[in-house]
Amino acid sequence: MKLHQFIERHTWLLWLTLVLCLLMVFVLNIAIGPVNIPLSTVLHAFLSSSKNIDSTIILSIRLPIALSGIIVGASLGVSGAIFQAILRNPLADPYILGISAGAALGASIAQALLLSSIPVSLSAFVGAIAAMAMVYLLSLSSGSSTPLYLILSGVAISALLGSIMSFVMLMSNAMQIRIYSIMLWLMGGIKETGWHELIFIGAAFSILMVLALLTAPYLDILPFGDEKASSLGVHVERARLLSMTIAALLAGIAVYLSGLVGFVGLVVPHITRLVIGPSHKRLITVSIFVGAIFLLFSDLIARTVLRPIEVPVGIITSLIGAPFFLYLLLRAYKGYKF
Amino acid sequence: MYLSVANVSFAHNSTFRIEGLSLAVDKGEMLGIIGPNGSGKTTLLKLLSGIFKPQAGTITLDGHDMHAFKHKELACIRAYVPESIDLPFDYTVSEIIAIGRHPFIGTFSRPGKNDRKAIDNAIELTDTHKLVNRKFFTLSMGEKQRVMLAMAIAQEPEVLLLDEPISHLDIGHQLAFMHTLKQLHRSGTTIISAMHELPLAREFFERLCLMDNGRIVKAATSGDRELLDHIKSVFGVTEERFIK
Repeated sequence: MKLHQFIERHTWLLWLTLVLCLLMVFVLNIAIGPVNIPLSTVLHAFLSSSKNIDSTIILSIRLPIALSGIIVGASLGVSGAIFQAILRNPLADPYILGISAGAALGASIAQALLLSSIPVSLSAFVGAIAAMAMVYLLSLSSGSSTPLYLILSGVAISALLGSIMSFVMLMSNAMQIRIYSIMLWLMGGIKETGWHELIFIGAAFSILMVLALLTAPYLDILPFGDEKASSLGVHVERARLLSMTIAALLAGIAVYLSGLVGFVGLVVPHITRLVIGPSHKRLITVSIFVGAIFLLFSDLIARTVLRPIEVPVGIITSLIGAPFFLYLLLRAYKGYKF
Repeated sequence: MYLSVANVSFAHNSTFRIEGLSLAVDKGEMLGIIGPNGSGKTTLLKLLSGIFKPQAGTITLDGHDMHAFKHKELACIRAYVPESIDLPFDYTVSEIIAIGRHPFIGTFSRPGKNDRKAIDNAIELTDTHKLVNRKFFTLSMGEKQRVMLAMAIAQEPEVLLLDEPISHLDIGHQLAFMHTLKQLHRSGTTIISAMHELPLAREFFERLCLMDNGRIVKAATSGDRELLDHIKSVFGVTEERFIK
């Protein structure tokens, strides 16, 4: 309450902190790796055009990974915020409506069937979006896509796809290496991405973020319930579909770039809401930063904690996120209704 | 006729249906809807506010079919206060009241002077000055109802529909709430409210509409002798002192 009011009065302080934190983890992310690069060299690589090994490492490997990290963290944070509003449930996350199961199935089919022409990340993206569409259509068959029907359909579709995935993995049992690589993929980790691909994804990401901000007023109203929202002039079914599409595509982008990174989409909107309140325009803007910072920070730990082995970043985000979430549940949300 | 329901039928599920409902409300009227639990009061309110679409018959507002209005257009004319609100997130009171201005604010614009004025007026009328910085979860039931009313008043509605707005309040807060409604009524707002408190309803509403089993038994002025007899039989109450 007091923190909330303090920040209300000193908004600039919040932004300054966010930008500085993001810059810090971003630069550290580029500097630290199998080979540590001094910070001065990192800055030099950005500013001068001369080429050496360090600047090549920075520009063609580390920078794209760090940028991917920002996109993944921000996408998951915002996607989670949107799903929590649409489903009127602070326990929702980007994966809740079948996206994780769809992505996992997509990835394992691509791996198991040796579809070398289709990359794992792409088939995971397609699987995620297809599963989400199935969940939506299934919930619609009950008349209206109310939060309850969406969540129930999500549970059903996730279970169904999960069992199909187990079956696919069992069938490809002969090649155990593939199962291992699926498992590794499922744990989540930022993949190396080429510049062309990254620019395309970055553009899609930016457009989705603008759309998310434009539809923020709907997210403020939908938590009041379908009937109150409708009386406030919101076409509930349409608004929900629009917001859900934005959130699903953002989650799909995150899945494409990094597999299944857990807990970011659940915890980031929570922390953000505690600090700045639930008003969605600000919640989304701040979640972009908090998500990006959280992911880059986790990635930093993932890369340094067992050097030279890189731990999948999804393990770290869950390792930090789960206890923190428990803490929130037990302390800050006393008297909170779920 | 300002708001009129003609021969409307509506069914939620197989167990409950409203059939052949007809009702006319004049502009600026203050109408109370009374009836036992499950008699169809809430359903009628939701039909009147355009949230439910009738399966047969028509509902017109100012001569136009209710469902010919765009969602936003309708939201600029009527406001609806549900019986209770269960929020998943802890908005501040000022945020909640400001959301009432949603229908007036375009996708690319920010709240303007008119919006500010409507919000201030809503706060003034509902006496919620002291609450604006509070979080919704910290409010008492009576305060929550006042805030929901303020949110609806911020919509500057011509028609205000309320679903049992005072059922969870003590008598002091009930009276204060009813006086606020009366004040709105004097400034020209058409008010339609479902009510469980018969004595208060008879005191504050000009006209009462008695429902039972999905039908309108009788709509008449509050003092009507025949209405009183119907109330007694519908509620199964023989002693008049409980309903007067």
